Amino acid sequence: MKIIGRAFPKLTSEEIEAVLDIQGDWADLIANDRRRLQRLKVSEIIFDPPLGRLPRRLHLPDGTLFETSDRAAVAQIEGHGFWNVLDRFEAFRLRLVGIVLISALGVYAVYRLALPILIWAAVALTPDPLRQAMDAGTLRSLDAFITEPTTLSTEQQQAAQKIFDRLIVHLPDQQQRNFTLTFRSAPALGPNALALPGGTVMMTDALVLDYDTDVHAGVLAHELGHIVEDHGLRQFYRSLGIYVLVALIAGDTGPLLEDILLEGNVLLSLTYSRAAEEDADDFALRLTDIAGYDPAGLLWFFRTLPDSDNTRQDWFSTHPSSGRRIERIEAYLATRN
Amino acid sequence: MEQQAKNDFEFRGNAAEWFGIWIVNLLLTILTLGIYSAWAKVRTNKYFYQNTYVADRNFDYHATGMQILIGRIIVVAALIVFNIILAAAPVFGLLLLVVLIFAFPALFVNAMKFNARMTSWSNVRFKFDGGYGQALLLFMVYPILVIFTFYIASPFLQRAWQRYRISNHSLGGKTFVFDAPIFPYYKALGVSLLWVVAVTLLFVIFGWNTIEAIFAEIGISTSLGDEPDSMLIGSLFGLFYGWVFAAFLPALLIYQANIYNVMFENTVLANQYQFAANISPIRYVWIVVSNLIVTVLSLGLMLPWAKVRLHRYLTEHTSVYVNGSLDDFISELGPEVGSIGQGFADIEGIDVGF
Repeated sequence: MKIIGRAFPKLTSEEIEAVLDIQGDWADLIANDRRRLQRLKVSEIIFDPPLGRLPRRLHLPDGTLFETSDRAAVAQIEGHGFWNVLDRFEAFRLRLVGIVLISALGVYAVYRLALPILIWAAVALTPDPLRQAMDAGTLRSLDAFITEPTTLSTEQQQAAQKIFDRLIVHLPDQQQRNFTLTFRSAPALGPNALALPGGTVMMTDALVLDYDTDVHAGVLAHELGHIVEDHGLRQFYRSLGIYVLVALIAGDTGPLLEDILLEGNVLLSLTYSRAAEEDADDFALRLTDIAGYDPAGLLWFFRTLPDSDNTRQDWFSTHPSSGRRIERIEAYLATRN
Repeated sequence: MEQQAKNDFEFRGNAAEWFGIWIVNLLLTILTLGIYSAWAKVRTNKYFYQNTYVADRNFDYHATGMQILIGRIIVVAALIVFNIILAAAPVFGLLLLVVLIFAFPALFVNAMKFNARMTSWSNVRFKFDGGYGQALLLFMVYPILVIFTFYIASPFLQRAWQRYRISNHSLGGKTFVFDAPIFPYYKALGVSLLWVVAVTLLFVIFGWNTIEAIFAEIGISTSLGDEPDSMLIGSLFGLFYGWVFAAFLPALLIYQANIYNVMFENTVLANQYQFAANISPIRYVWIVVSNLIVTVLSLGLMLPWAKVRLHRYLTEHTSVYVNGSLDDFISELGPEVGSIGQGFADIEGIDVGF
């Protein structure tokens, strides 16, 4: 059997039109000018795995590379291994539809199982100094752009701090961390509070001034819920994890899409964020109840927010609409009584 | 003037064939919990390298899956150890961070060497001889100097990078030489800035009514102590994102296309082989953006098609003028290079392609 191709002597770019003449266990490499270049044992040829319709590459014992487009002939002298089976599955045939469906299931499984495990592991491995550093960094950038030093009196701050401490005392041991409360004036944020992954809670002056103790307790407990459940950190690792998994599984996604996957990810995180808000609401209702505050405080807070009857922007916002949250809290209060 | 033959780069693969290989790569990667991804990378590179021809001879990628896997395992293990040390002894961890900063250029150089050695054209291997000192300057020193010029000197940094990457490559004992004037870099930057300015003007002219309404509304509501209408805030954000997407992303792509051309037009191999490229920036933007849209709408299934389409466009608009024989390249046998740097490049997502 003769296999037509071209030979490249070891390490050189010199191209020789040649024929590999197979006779049983032995083969002759013969140049087109009828020179016999070498005689070799067929069993000593190393075959590069087949790949699509690319020419086959055969590494001859003396280092010569022999390249041929005669795939059928190579298949006859080559043993059958993993790569040959793989090559057949890769062919563009109807059965690829099956592979696509199994792959889709696999991707879904990775999304539902592997991603949460990765996020859990990353959260568990994040050392406390790093969390503290994240808090400090976030506060610095807030101070640079949005927030200003608080205008609250020491008494007002102490009153809020007392509520905060009382809530923390009622947290079980395994949820204890290094919690700190800080105040900022932030007209742009309205009456609001913010939780950072290292245990820092920030209250705006408007929240302290415009509302009473039970509302403060409800909102602070809600923020503590975010910290205890590591919502912020999870969100961060979720975006990062999706990027890493896509790169690992689908390979290079090309310009633009890569950037969007890394920096964007906004739509995907929306539903998660909504679930997190509702988790934190539930957490706040239980905690205020145990700590001796009126759980209805959170309800009053949402009722007085300007868009309390507005459900239109639900889909676009990272927070569920206040209307829906009010319904959930009312349901909780009803079961409690 | 000697006779020079123009040889276009060509790509002989196709999307359907690549789709089959890609989806099997994807499935095996999931089934092996990611381990197969090292072999998937090799198969991917082999498919694209071997299907890329110039003067009827193709490229090849020679790394094995096992080499890639070992490099990645070492890097992941090192990162875990680093995190543990950071958690246990933060002070010592900071010291280690400084070490890591200085190790980074070394890992980069190693990755370049590994990649070059594992790449061949017409059976002859590439070689990379870049030094650590130069890489350290490019990574740590020059970027800081550029900041002091308010980024006005950034084209010089871009050119220094290209010179470092190209001029340190050789193929079979023949060295690549990169020597470009600075003007084309400023021109490329200027064209992209012009795009940003033009798009911004269009947004201001056609979006003026909306912008005016928004600011009027915000002014009224803050003076009344009310929250601004969320609908208007929404359209402000919509306008803002639209502007970022239309002004900056195409500007970046236009810059990339122009720089690609500059890079090839100023590269010569051994005084005998002059490279050239004629990527049209607008066509490049069109391909990248439409690729993105098709990929998203097909839930990723058209990703192989998109990759082949872009790769084909880039290769088929690149060429080399050959003056002399293509048969006299001979591989130099250098010392073996480990794949640790490559593993690091994989994990950190650094692009070390030529």
